Amino acid sequence: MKVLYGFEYRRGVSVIHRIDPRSKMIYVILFTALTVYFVNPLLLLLVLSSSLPIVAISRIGSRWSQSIKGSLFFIAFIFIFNFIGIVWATGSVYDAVISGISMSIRFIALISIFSVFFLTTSPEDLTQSMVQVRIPYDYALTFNMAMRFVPTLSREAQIIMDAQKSRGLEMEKGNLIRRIKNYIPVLIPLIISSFRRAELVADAMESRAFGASKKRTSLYVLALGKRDALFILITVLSFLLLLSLRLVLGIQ
Amino acid sequence: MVNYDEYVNVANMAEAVRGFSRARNLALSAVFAAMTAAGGLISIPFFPVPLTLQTFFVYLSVLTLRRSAALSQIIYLVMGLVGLPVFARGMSGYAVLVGPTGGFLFGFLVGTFCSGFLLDRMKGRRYAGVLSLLLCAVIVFGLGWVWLAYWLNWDFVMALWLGVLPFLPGDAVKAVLALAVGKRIRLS
Repeated sequence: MKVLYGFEYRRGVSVIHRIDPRSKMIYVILFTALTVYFVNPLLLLLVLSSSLPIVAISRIGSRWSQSIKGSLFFIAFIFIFNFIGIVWATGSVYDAVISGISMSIRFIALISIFSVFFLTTSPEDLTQSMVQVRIPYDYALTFNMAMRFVPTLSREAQIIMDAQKSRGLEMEKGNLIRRIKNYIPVLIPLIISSFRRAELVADAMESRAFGASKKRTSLYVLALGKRDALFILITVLSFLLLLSLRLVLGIQ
Repeated sequence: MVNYDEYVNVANMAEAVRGFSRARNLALSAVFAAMTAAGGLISIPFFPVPLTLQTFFVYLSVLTLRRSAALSQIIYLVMGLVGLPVFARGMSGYAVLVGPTGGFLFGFLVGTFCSGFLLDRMKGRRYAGVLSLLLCAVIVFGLGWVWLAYWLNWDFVMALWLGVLPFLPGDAVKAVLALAVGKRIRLS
């Protein structure tokens, strides 16, 4: 699951890393909205390329390209399903190909925008910024924990599967009941290790007095600075520029 | 004299003493959200539809988390919404949530909420687990069916054949599996 690497934060020191998550969220919201609005593949390509300067500045190229490469695998699915759907509905192969290309670029653009956000935002900052936009702390925390668990768990599932296969477990054999039974030696270790992980995290939280005080205060409070103003300005200007391509020039 | 009560959340400590604390609940919800996501990525090739372990984890979350199971599903949906490829076949984003199969995803949320509530109410009674899983499955498939029918221009029969019937045998097995595993899990 290489695409998940694009969502795992590694510490970095670039300007983008130091920008407030809330300003980066503005970028994410505006540009994902554009992916909904645009239909033309070339315009969608422009939206996709909007994340390139950010990737260059924040030097996250290798991990970002890994997540893009990983998402290429899913594009085949999207293309085929879309192709069948459109040919079924309209009977036009040309339309189907064009809309398939659009759908694929839209998917990559979405992955790219979100992975840029998650690669440059530390989980602590993300939680803090979610709390500062008044999302309850419990939900913000659980969300961030889950975000961290997903790559860990899918890696662990893969490791357990490989281990059981090396012990001679044949997973793709037999009838339905047999196949489901084949998954038990994978599921049980996965569930147990996940529960153990949850218990460890809960113990760690409690040993740091989680939930002991009614009012939770923060040592660090995020504040918007000049850097954020500049980032938001560039984001909004390029958003308006792209939007005008459709609104003014009339490209679909 | 310091008013101790202002600084210490007594209700929370009592909960912790009883053994099922808020921290534990949150950590387990996070793990179940992640497991539901990972379950969508593991698929067993089978005719006519590939089986995924997604609903297995949905059922298991009802049995272990009861009323907080819905929280894990909210988190799961939000993760998919922000672009993590956690929905079935590695999909993500708003398009899936409002798309033809979106009903099943919302069904996970509504289903876990209702059946978790039911399980809490029937705690300790016989067949509580079976009944709540049945309710969960009915809600998940019911919502998914109606939603899919809407996408097929209200063709309920077609939606039944495409989205409900092929999945039922697999889901029955997964529910039994979840019951067997759930019985073994005792949260300390």
